[in-house]
Amino acid sequence: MNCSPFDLRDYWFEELSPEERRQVETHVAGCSGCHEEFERLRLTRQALSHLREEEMPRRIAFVSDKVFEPTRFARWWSGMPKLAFGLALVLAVFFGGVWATHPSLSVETGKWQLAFGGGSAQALAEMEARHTAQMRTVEETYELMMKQMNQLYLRQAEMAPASYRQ
Amino acid sequence: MIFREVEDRDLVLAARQGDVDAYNRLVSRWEKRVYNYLLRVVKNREDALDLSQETFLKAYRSLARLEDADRFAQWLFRIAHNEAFSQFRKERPESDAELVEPSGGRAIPVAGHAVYPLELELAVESALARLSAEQREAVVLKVFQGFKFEEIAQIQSCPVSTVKSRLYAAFELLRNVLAPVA
Repeated sequence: MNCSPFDLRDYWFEELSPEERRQVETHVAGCSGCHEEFERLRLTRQALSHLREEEMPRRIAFVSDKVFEPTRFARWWSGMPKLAFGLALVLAVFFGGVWATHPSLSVETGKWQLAFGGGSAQALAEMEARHTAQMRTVEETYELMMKQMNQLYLRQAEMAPASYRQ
Repeated sequence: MIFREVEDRDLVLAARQGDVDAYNRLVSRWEKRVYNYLLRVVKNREDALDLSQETFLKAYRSLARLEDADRFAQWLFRIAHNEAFSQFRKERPESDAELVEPSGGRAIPVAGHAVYPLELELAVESALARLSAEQREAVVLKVFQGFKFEEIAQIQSCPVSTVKSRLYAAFELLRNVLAPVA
């Protein structure tokens, strides 16, 4: 510890203003304890200053050198905004067209379900019942037609000449 | 005719506009100091060189993010600091320890004795090697690079009080080694 108005280490760290430095120097000149500490710090600072800067084994590459070229990822990333903008534009045109034309789409859930094999048993039974009813109508119509044709045939036979019947 | 040396700020602004030569001048101006700073911190020439290259590469790519062109030096050393301590973490996770106790080797007498410059340099190297990475970095930034406490705090990303405690503790240790009481 010392009784200097400012930290003696800050003097050698050059963190004091000119006025503060002057005050320290004045104090140290008249205080043996602080003078001793001040001298030891000066020797330490002086010893450190003997450490020289080393020359570089080789120079740092310049911007024009290959090492400064952007990486593949950097190049890909720099192209992303253009790609994203193009994709957004395509989507905007597509959905804009859909919105502008208002296509009328209707979906019957039961039919879609049957078409994709996911229909319910009830829907399947209803469809089979409709089919049976249609077939029954067709059969009845056929039988009626055959009956009418037979009657027509018999009536023609009654009206035919006797020589013909013989 | 008065010639004014081009300031870092002017070169940073020109480099931001795509002036490649301006950035190359910044590299030429700062490469030796950055290299020596990293050399003192990582204590390996090849690593220091690789980290220096990486520092200038990252600085170039993120130059647009430098808010204050006047503070290029602190910003550059901040990148170098990140590179160095990132390497520490990869290689030696335990190096995050704040303080490393001196190894207890005998003091190297300097004061009051005639020593050759090489001997003194070795003594300083040996003394610096006893410091923790953070203390050594603070000493290098203060004594060899001439940064102020506030600037070192920005580079080391810590409060000014932490910088002071690192420097005071480091200087105490260095003083005991390099300038023992006669």
